[in-house]
Amino acid sequence: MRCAGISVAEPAPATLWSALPALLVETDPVGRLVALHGEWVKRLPPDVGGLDDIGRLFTRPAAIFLETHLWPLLRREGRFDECHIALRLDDDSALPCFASARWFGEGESRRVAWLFTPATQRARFEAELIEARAAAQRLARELAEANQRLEAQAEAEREHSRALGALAQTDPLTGLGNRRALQAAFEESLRCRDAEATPDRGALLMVDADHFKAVNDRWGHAVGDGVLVRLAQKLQASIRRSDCVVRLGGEEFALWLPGASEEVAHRVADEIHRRMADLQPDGSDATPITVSIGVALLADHGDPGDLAALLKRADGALYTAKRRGRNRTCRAGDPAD
Amino acid sequence: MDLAQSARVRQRHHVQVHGEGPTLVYAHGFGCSQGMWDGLTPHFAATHRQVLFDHAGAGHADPAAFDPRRHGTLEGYTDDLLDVVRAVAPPEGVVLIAHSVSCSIGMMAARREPGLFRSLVLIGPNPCFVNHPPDYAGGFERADLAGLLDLMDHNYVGWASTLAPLVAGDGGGPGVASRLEASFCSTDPSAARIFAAATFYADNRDDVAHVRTPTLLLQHRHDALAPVAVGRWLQSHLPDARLEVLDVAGHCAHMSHPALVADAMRRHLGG
Repeated sequence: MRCAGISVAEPAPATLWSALPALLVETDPVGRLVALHGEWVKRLPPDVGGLDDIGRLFTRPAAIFLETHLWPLLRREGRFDECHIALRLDDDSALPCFASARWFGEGESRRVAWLFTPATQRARFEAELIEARAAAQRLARELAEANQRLEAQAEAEREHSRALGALAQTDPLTGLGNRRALQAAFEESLRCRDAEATPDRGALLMVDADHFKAVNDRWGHAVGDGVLVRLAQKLQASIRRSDCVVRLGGEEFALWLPGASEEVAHRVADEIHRRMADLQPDGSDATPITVSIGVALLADHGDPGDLAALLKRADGALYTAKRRGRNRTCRAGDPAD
Repeated sequence: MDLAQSARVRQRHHVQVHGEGPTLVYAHGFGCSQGMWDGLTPHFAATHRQVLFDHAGAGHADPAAFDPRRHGTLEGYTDDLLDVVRAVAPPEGVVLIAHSVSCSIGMMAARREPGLFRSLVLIGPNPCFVNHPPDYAGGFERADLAGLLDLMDHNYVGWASTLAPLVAGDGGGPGVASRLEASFCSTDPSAARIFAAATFYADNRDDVAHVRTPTLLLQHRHDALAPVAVGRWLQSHLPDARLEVLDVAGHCAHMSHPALVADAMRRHLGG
């Protein structure tokens, strides 16, 4: 026996203290062993004795846990409960335990009571639980990754179909939108319009190059196509940022001016006429091409959602402009009709 | 560092500043929070400006501040420490009081920004926990450290955020969940595990010779985590260090024997 109060490997009559199916330890405030009780005392390593640090009863991993977690906890909270640790046994094996500890006594006789309850079965069970949990987490991670890949694939598909959609709405010669693009822009502006600010405002302009057949006949289709491309550029330059210009076919174009009043519609139309001044067929000093324009206002219209009807009215106005000598703008429903 | 950045750092690391005088910055070790300094700081309350903070993932640090990648090595904690010091920095520099793994973090910080630190007080330092025979005995084999991570898993399985609410709801009454969380001074068990790996697998022996800051090494006579031999190794490799072995057992003299640590610090600080 190396110290009073320590009864390591000392034969003694069986008592409740020696029969206790646990290890009960008393230490001084800095963790030096004062007394050991319970049936596990006889299994402790022989190199541990009185006034040794309690850490020497722990396996080395558990000793780190003692220093980094249990002592700080014990000092700050005055106790800890049901922590997993492992004790070192005489055959150098580890004994998994639940450990609890608290302070007792006052002043000089202030001590710490430590209780270690073997938990071999529990430790094994919990190890399996931890493994199962890790497996579940791995699975959840894999699932999330698979989901992410799927999401990325779906996004790529959507991107692809957007590209196809854009292609389907584009006129290959001028790069302008086509009739489908006009429909989309029209519906979009109806959805987004500020009903309070511009109730049912907007104008559709139908633009047609005058005597275009003659250009093709005289200079050939290649030059005619060049004229259409430049005409498209001039239309695009004439509109506001919110507007949309498309090629309906042949030499016929349509402009949708969301929110536009009659005044704005005519200003845009005038701008278009003005910009045609230098639109000669390619490489010639011939008379510039002119355009006729038919305007239909949404406000003059029964059903504001009916693009086909609006187009029809603009077309009628365009016909009027042609009939009146071309190179001019007419409005559908104009009393002068 | 401008005011807004400084305020962000202070919030992120729950920085607390008390008192006036030369600045002491306290860096807590693995497994705990700035609360571990409560026994020591009263000794300097009247004479010093004292700065406390929580490492990311610990105590009251902003949970969002913890980044598994940044904090997977001690470099991330070093960046954080430098942020904190810059956020409170007086022009004359600070004295860093560091415990355990924060000693390594502090040495890396002082190597990188020597101008910020007037001196270092390292309590229970160990630049490399793993043994590298024959020249270096850190005290542990890699298997021991794997065992520690295992033990942490065992202890955290109950407190993980998914289970804590169940515990609290199960007649435990309010406060149970928060006490479990507070009990290991860690906001996030998974953060603690990452910090543990960063701490115990770190090898900062190469930094030591480059730390020119005057250093006081406080080693415990019987310390399972930082043997006296490690203190001697540090003293012989640090350019400007003095070793004092405190005649105590354990790894947290500032908690178990704060007056002893305060005396040693006062001698070192010269007053």
